Amino acid sequence: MSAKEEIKDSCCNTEGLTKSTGKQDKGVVHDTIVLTIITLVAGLVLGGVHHITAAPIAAQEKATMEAAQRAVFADADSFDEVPLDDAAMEKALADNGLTRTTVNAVYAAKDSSGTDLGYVVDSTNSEGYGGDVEVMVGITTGDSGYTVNGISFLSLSETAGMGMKAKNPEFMDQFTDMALGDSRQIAYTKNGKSAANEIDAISGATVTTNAVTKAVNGALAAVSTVEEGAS
Amino acid sequence: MKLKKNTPVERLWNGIFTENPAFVLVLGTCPALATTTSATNAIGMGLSTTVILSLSNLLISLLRKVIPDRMRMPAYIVIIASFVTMVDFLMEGFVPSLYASLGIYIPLIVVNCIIMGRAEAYAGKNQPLASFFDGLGMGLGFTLAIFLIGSFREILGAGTWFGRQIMPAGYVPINIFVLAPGAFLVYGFLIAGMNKLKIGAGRKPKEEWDPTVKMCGECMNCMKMGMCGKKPESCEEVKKAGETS
Repeated sequence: MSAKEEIKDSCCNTEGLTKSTGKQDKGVVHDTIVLTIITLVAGLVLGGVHHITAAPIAAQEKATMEAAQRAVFADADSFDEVPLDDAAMEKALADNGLTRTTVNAVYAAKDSSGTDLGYVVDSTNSEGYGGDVEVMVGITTGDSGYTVNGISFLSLSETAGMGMKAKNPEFMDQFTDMALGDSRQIAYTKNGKSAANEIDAISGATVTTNAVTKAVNGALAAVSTVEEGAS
Repeated sequence: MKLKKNTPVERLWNGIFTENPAFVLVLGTCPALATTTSATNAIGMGLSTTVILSLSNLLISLLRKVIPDRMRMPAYIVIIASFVTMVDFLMEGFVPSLYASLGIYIPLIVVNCIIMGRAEAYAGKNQPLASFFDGLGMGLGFTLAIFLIGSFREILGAGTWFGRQIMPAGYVPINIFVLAPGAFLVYGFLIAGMNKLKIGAGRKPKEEWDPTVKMCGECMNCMKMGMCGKKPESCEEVKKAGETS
């Protein structure tokens, strides 16, 4: 092929699109019908795939949830979901200044004999640098106050090397067996933690630290609300 | 390297080197900047894109005689988005560990210009086998390109590679590289480097032309104008050619 013909093949044609692809123009009605058929078929296939995968997806989500619960409350034998009073929960979150924080679920952690050991809470704060920060918090309740057993991240999409340091042991270990004493909320500090309910912020990632703190506080507020409601 | 056009091997070579989507066609810039904060993320995104690209190119090529010309774009989008959604469901249900690491990148693929670009520029007009390999080649080229960008950004910006510390202990990571400005910097410098070495988009055009003269003619609508080696015709020349023919 000569250079000019070769380029004509690969470049566009200004004569008009229908001519360049050699297709007859069959009219808008015909084209609309064809497009509708394509969309219908796509919709049906998607519906089918969704149907096939619905059960496995639900099973996976359940397994992840159970693994996260067990990770933050190893002593418990079973977790029973506690019905939440939405109005009381919203008030508790607002009272503590926990903006853009939601409590997704509260589970009562029980041992093999059915005694309450504490709670596992799934809470989210949407003030993370890269979106939602969702944590699972294990909280042991008792006469001496609340103790945070630990936290586990269900969703964390922060910047690598900065906010994602929240997943490092040095940050997460701060929450392991954190006895809060009289406090019902934690706080972060950049000046070296001193009080029992303080954690060290991630250097250079205050936004992420703030989001995690608020999510954990949301969990703590949820437990307070549930306990107040029960007593 | 002279390969027979539109054969599988030629399509692979074209996608990886001659017309690398990230460095030559400069398509898919958004995911190239957003998902390259680390080498692992980049490879995950690249491979997911490759799968979708190959499959959608294949299906669009198979349907190319059926899809009406004026409904090309909506038809392509429906097909691409459906594939992405299906892959999303199947991964979530059957390969949860892989889904957990790649999960957020799958929906992002729908808005990757490379897929629409190749559907329009190649799959809509060529044989299914060649289209499949075009998609595969473009996807692999994209993966290679963003792996390069991701590696630079991770090594300089976090001191690690694939999550493992490789810079010496005293190295203070230059954080800007894992943020948006750093992405633009790395991308720009890599293309500048390729232009300097006269590879990729920096290949010297076969004919020189004066860009200040007004151009007309068939090259004006073409994506490859200035890159295929042909000199676009000026309006004078087109008028003259029209008069004499």
